[in-house]
Amino acid sequence: MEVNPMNETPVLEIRNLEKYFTRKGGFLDSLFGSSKEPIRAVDDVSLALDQNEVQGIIGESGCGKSTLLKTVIGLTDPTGGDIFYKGKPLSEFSKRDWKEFRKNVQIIFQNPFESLDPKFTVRESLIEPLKIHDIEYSEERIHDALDRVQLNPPQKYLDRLPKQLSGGEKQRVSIARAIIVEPDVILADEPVSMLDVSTQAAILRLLSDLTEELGLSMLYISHDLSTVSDICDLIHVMYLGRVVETAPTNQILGQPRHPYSQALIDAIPIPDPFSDRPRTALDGSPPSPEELEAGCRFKDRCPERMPRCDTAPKKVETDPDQFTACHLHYEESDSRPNTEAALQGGNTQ
Amino acid sequence: MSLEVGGIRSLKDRFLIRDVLSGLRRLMDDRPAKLAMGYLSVMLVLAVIGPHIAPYPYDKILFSEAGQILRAQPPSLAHPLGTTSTGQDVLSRMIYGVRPTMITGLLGGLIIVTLGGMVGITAGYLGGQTDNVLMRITDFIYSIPLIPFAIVLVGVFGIDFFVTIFIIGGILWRGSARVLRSKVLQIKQRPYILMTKASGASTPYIILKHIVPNVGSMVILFFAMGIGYAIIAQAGLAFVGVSNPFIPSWGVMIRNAYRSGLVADAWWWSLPPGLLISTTVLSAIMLGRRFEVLSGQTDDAMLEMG
Amino acid sequence: MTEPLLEFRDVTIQYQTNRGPVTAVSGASFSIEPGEFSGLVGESGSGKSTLVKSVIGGLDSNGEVTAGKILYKGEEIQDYTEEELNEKIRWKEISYIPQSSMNSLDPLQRVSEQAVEIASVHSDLSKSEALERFKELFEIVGLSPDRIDDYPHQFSGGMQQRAITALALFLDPALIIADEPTTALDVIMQDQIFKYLDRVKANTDTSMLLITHDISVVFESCEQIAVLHGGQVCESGSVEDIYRNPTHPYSILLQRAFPDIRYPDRKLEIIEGHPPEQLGEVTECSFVERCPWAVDACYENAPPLENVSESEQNHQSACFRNDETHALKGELTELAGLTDGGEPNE
Ligand SMILES: Nc1ncnc2c1ncn2[C@@H]1O[C@H](COP(=O)(O)OP(=O)(O)OP(=O)(O)O)[C@@H](O)[C@H]1O
Ligand SMILES: Nc1ncnc2c1ncn2[C@@H]1O[C@H](COP(=O)(O)OP(=O)(O)OP(=O)(O)O)[C@@H](O)[C@H]1O
Ligand code: SF4
Ligand code: SF4
Ligand SMILES: [Mg+2]
Ligand SMILES: [Mg+2]
Repeated sequence: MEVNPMNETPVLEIRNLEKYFTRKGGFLDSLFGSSKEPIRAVDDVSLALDQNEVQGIIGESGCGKSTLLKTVIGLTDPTGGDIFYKGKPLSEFSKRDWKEFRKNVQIIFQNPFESLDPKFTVRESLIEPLKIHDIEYSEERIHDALDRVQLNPPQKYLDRLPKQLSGGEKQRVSIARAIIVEPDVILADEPVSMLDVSTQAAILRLLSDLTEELGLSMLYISHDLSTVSDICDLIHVMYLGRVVETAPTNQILGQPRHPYSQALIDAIPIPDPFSDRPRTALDGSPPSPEELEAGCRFKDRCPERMPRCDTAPKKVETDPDQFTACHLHYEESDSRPNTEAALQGGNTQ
Repeated sequence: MSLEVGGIRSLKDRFLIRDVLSGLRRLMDDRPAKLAMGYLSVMLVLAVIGPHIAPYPYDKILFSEAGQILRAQPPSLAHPLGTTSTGQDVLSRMIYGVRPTMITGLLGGLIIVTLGGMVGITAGYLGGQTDNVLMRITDFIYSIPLIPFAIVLVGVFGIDFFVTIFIIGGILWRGSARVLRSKVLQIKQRPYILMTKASGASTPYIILKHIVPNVGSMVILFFAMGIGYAIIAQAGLAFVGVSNPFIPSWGVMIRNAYRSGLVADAWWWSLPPGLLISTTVLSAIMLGRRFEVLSGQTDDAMLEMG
Repeated sequence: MTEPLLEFRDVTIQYQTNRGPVTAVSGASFSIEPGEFSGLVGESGSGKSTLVKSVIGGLDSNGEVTAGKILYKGEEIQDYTEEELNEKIRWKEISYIPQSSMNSLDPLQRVSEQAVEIASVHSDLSKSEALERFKELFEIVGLSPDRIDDYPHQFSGGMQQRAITALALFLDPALIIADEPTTALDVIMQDQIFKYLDRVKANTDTSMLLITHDISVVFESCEQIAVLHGGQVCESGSVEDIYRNPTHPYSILLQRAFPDIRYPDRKLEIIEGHPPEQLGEVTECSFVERCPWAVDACYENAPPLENVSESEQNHQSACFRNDETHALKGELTELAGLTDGGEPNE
């Protein structure tokens, strides 16, 4: 697998990806053939990540962000759709391709408290990926990695076990572990959620330097819109397994078109005790992904809900490069049924 | 498998050393653990040098000056624990009995954790069909009652000391297999395992480097409990007569006392072996338990065995 | 004034490491009044978790409170044994949401079983009452009540964190200590939880100690704030005072590093450098290596926490140059939305 000199094929591409979890029903259920509805953790998600590009995914807790990353990196098998790495589908990978892929695509997990083996010292955790890929290394390389994630001085941390690190320190060791093999793609699941702003800014600066220096690309999950804006070129807003809006960062922040994106932005806290930002108007939580009704998935909580929201909205380009799946943004111009969305999304039940 | 590739070996060794050392250090700071360790060390020493320091050979029949066999004499200065109905020195028999007990415990415990560990960890980590098959086998073993089964097997293989140990180990691994499997099922979902998988490590590597160390304290607990259970089981078998009567284990002593009809009268003969069996078993189990508690991974619900 | 609910008096906490004793918290003092929500902020590694773990006896085995007192309702609790803590403090009086809450649920037990167990040990709720109450709380933290019988691994990270939050609210404790309770949550969920906590604050006497690295959350939801840097409390006071008149150099710089969605174009500053590794006794200001205004005195002693002015009650700062920082602040470039002296900005 070599880099395409023309840079035309995206480094990573996802087409109509689906991941359903089936929860096993009881014995009686299987007897009567009434198995439970699957949990649709990821439903028809498509995106293409170019070299040097950083794309963000934001969305409510439980909407399927982590599942998306785990599926992309091949830890769970998708139940539908395709994933391409440098133009080649994962399903056709040979053993050697997998080895390449495993070296070049690194993941940073959401939960730093469990991302490091409790029996490994920091040094051992950092060396491990190098060993697995037979990469020569020196003590400097390890120091350098720690230095880059602001763990200074490195000697202070090298021989510690994870439980001797604070939350943010663990998180930074996980990042160091991902960058130490110099990958092409990083899939980062809330990598800086436990860091204070200043350290966060320093690490985001590091990551964006790396995208330039090494031609790194990144899928970056976060719930914190105020920091994704620093690093992401494009943002996907996910709700209940689907992408409801995609737009360049400043457009999402400045002119969110989807009511859910708007709600997300309204809920960002403001560092000012005198601001009277009202608490979010949204109540409850998304319906359980097993019991989805037809139509827009946000409709139970949407302040703008209309009768036609009972059919699935299709994605339209509301502004240049901004794609929104919401009935507010297009007229039901003719009696043509919403076939496109129905075909692509398959979420009409 | 890349286990032999430079460095990884040494890394792995360092880990083991580190784990064991830190475990020992913590045990040394803990009074119950220190007591149990002290007791077991004495037993180990006796197991090695016992026959050299025992006042009499265990099977020597002792006579009084008058030339009579010293049958069931109560404790005296010459025989601090008295004598048996066949005129043997109880103290000497007790000291001789340490070695078979220790061998039973260590070997039995080792078989229990090795089998239980291999089955439990493989089943838990690989899952799917392998898991199904291995757990069926475990369930089957669970349905076997130890003593009747041992009687049958001894009928086939003859009464050999080691055969009984293998039978015990061959059955009692079932508890540790089940518990280790469920522990591994939990651990294998942890991000650090997924992370290692995602960086391309092979399955044997993950099992050896990440799974085993992380169930290590539980393995040690099962080893310690295995020692205890093997000793009890062996004593039980000896008592019902399914054990080599010429090896002077404590179980055999209790049996002899019982069969002589003097259990109640000759307390100096029947009590010490029973007492020593209990304290040895308790010390072993206590040590394992403290080790697990001190390494901070207790889970009371998981203490099922046998 | 009434007696504080929880008070730290000159608390020093050290960890034994093979490089020597590391002082994670040094001489920290602050207190929480009944019914008050208080925020503890500070950068990663500044000792926030260490400090609160010492309250409920959760320090690692190599960590120890080496000096100072922790008072709960006037009683010294820093030397309580496990039994005493279980009997008198945990769950009923103080419930604690650990930073690793995502994995503090027992993976082998259904979430509902864990709630019933806590109820049976620490309260006299019946099983059905406990379940009823737990379902209510699930609703409040935005989880569907019919998922209480799920195992933890069936939840996403944020869902587990919400389940833990429900457990913490379960027995109506006097004080909730929450270590980064919303880090794994999206902003909407975070806002919903705080919406509920606002109600708790309005209707009950419950106090909260909220640990977070996110000042905005504290500014919005708490009345008091304490800022930690390198194990030292550098400033404490009401959120209004500290917003309007941050006095410690670290607070001043921190405020300038904070993104504000109202000013998306503001250039954020980074506080360069790192807090020192504090081996052994701490004898300097922990901010000295990073402070633009450090003077010789700052290397010689740790500055005491002192009142900033007569007018601002309870506003304290630990800097030798407390009196001058107001003027020194003027040297910094102006940032949109942050006027000097910080009149409430709208
Ligand atoms: N192994 C599993 N079995 C069953 N359901 C699962 C499993 N893993 C995830 N889910 C479900 O899939 C949905 C999406 O979970 P996921 O972890 O991807 O969410 P997320 O977007 O990462 O949320 P968060 O921000 O809270 O981490 C949730 O409803 C979750 O309960
Ligand atoms: N068991 C330990 N042994 C040695 N040092 C420790 C131990 N636990 C924590 N530390 C150190 O003490 C300092 C304070 O840690 P603490 O967990 O209190 O930080 P924190 O403020 O909660 O940070 P974060 O926001 O990253 O969670 C850190 O520098 C950490 O490395
Ligand atoms: S389609 Fe309807 S329900 Fe869905 S977001 Fe748009 S307005 Fe709201
Ligand atoms: S005491 Fe000195 S070093 Fe510390 S904050 Fe004040 S001026 Fe800066
Ligand atoms: Mg997630
Ligand atoms: Mg912390």
